[in-house]
Amino acid sequence: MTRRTVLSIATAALLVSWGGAAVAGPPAGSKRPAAGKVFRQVWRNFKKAKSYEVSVKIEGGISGTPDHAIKTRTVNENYSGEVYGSLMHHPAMPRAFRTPKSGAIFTGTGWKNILADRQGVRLDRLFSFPQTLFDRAGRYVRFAEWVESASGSEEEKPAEIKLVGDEKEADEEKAAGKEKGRTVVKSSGKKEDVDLPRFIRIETPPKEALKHFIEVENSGCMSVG
Amino acid sequence: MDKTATNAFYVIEVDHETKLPKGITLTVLTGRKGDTIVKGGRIVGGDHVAFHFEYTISNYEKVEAPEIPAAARKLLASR
Repeated sequence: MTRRTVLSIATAALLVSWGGAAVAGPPAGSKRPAAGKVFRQVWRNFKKAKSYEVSVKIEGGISGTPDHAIKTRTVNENYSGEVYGSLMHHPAMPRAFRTPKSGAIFTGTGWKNILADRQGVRLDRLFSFPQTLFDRAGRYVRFAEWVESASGSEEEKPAEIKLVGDEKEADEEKAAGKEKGRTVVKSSGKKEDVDLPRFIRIETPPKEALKHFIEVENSGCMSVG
Repeated sequence: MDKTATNAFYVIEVDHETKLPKGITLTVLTGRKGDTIVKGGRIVGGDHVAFHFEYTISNYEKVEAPEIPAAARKLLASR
């Protein structure tokens, strides 16, 4: 049996077994905007951004808890870059330039194709362009849901609607909301504020999850299993 | 590893004032045969392999165009 056949069987099994279909949208009677709608707006704005800085912290290993926190770490990498248009510049060592399709890395003896250098391969395969991540997540926007924390593991809570009028109370609530990781947003032209979480979770179907996992394997960073 | 139990999800942190992302985290999970607890296709406990890619995005529109050395420019255009 070829590797491809094994993967196809595994993918088919995942598709059959996957029952997770987090439905986007606010709870009944809520004024909270649908997570998918907000994601689309953020995605659209992000596409228009000409430049930004980005850093990535990569942690991998064995977890034993529902929040997937790493207890035995095998991978711990940090990278940073500056995005200008379709170009990402990594000023720190190793210095590199990348586009979504090609890359160049400075190895000490000169500039090389990024895939001709072991460090370059790792950088290129582990550090995705944020725009690529958003485009991939955007394919599954129908599964978008609000979550209360960055771990994405908490269940969605009902929207809390607050009436506008008492400025002092609103300020106090705003301050309290920030402590809890929530932001109070004024809806223009409406008579209520919607207490929105800061985080949107998008679960991918099993086929996409497997693709992500194979990409991690192909980066050569894995030494567990 | 048990690739029949593989999950991935994104968590996007939204700046509600600017309507731009402050970050995006990709979590990729796969089971380990006999160790992982799976419910409804989701890994919910037991030992499993986990990878977290936590991206932080900042300083929108504050990055200037970098100067690319000629040799690097040639490589970028080569594919």
